Amino acid sequence: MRVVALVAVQSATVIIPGDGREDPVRVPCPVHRTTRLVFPEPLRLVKGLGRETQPLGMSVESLKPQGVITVTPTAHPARGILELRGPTLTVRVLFESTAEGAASEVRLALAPPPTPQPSPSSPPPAPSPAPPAPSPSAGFFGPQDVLRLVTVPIDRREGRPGQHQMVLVDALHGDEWTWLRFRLEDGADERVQRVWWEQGEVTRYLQEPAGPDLGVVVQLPREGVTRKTRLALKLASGATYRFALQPSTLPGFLREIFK
Amino acid sequence: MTRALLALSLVMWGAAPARAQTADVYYRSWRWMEEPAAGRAAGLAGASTALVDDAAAAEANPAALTTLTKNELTGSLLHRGAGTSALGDSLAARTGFGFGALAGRLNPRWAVGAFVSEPQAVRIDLASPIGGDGLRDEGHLDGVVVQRGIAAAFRVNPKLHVGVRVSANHLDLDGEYRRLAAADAPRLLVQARGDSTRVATRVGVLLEMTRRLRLGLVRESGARWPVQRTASSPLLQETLDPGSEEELRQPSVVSGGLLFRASPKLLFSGQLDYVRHGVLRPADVVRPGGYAPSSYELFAWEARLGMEVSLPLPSLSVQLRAGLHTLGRGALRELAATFDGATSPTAAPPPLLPPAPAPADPELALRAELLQQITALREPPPPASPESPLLALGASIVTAKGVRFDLAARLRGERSALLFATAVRF
Repeated sequence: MRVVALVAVQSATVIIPGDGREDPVRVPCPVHRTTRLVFPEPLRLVKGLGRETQPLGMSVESLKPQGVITVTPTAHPARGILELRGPTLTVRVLFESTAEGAASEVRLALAPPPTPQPSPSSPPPAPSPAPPAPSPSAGFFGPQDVLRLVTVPIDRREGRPGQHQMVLVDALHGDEWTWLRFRLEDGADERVQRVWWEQGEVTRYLQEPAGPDLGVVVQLPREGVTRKTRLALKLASGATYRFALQPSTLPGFLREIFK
Repeated sequence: MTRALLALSLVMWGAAPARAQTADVYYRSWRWMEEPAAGRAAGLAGASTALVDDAAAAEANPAALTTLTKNELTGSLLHRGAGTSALGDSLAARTGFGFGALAGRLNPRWAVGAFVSEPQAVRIDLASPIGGDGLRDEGHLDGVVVQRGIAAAFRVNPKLHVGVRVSANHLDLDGEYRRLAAADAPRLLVQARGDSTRVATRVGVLLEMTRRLRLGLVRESGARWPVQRTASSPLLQETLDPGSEEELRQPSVVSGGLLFRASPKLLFSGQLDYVRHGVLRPADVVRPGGYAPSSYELFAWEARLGMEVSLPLPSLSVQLRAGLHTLGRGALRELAATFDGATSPTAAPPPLLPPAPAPADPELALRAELLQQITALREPPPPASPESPLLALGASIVTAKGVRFDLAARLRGERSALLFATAVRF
């Protein structure tokens, strides 16, 4: 495996040859310092986040318009490989902690295509086609997502006495994403301020009043959603709701005990 | 005693809070009063027919089990304080298990629950001053009812829930009273013993009229337990009742409740109970030396009203509750015209001893007179004055992990009560 080495600087741009699948990009990350990796496209999938990468302190800062991954190692040595997928680009990045260094930003960029040399007898080159419009899948929902959605009803309620009840209505599973639908009963005047789960912050969510309630939809990468997934939502008023993604039933509880 | 005076005394007696079961003296301070022993219900004075999202619904209104948002395990300890009945009899203090339940949903439509409770537990020590005839009553009645039940609920549609509860109600009863003069052996000794289990059912309906308003309806058939009775005269060394069976009846109840959630922080709960104590006929209740009865039906209306305030703090919630419970005034409905003399389900009691002709021997004559006095029916006790409503207060702490600690107190009435409960949601 050939590794493209990179010398850490305050800000740097790394050119990725081809789709980068064969050659992980190496990014050094000083311990206790934050290194930001900017992906040139919206991020559709991040593979590799897990317990082994926890010492690297990774989190997804944003998914669009460009994906941003932040790394703040808490221990040294530590390393981990992430696979980042966009609508057209897939890059494998090797993050390695270093003992010294400063916070930095690393921007990934595609190599520009070679300019063809025109021959005297060849016809003039055709104009370059317009860049493809962003795939509808790069947004929150795409037509193909809707065609393949599998709906799983959950109906799980959370909220302490005195708080509005928040209901996890159902989960919509697509090929690459899972959408969780919530309803904050009688909470049309409330706003969700923050969403997070065990893999870090969640920035892809929508909210809008629906009658007396507040409707919220949260998008998560499907591969990261498991039976142990726990999602938390915090309102601007301060109330926090933590959800498991299964309905709370006696049979489910007994299965967990005797598993 | 004229018929009019008898009817009047019974009207007045019936107008008092529903009390004695049969005409034996030791029942005179016995009362069927539903004492809520679940944490939230106790603080709401028992206004729980329409209460939702609580495992105590397994006992109160099984239809509400499908409103549970999480599985719940709960239990309570209940301390009943010492007190004095309206007739002056002593009520002993008692601390023991109050209520326990486990309930949860099986799926979005079905829910089940199981519970154990001790709805009735009392020891009454009779205390009567010496009457004009130089005699007084002594004795006690010790009665405990333990209920074990299972319940199931079904959500018919998003607004309508139905449920049923079946419970095994065990009665442990021990009663005795003596009628005696200062230094003599008792002229009358009556003993009662009951130790049996009977099944009772409760069916319920819950209607979610709006997101804030719920209506609950419940009907319970009361249990009936056989009680073995004996009576004798130690003074005369006579057996008056070698053994008969009487019936202790738990009243049937029809209850309607309304729950209004004004906001996530404020809730009101109201309930109206129709308590029917059943028909007492002469064949059921005539007992030598007991109170004079007549044929009548006793029923009572009882109202409950509760309020709950929930205060969410950063890491836990605090709840405060208050409630009022108005005890039934009771009512009398004379059934003499409709009494058809149908056979009592219990064994026929021994007939009253008719006055015998005076024997020639003076000693025997005195003995006969004494026996007549002992077995004569007595005037019932004077009716008690109407009681003021019982007051309930309660508080809870609910942690972010779903653990709840409850404290509740019932004040006023014949005796106070204090309850500590806890619940875990998972």
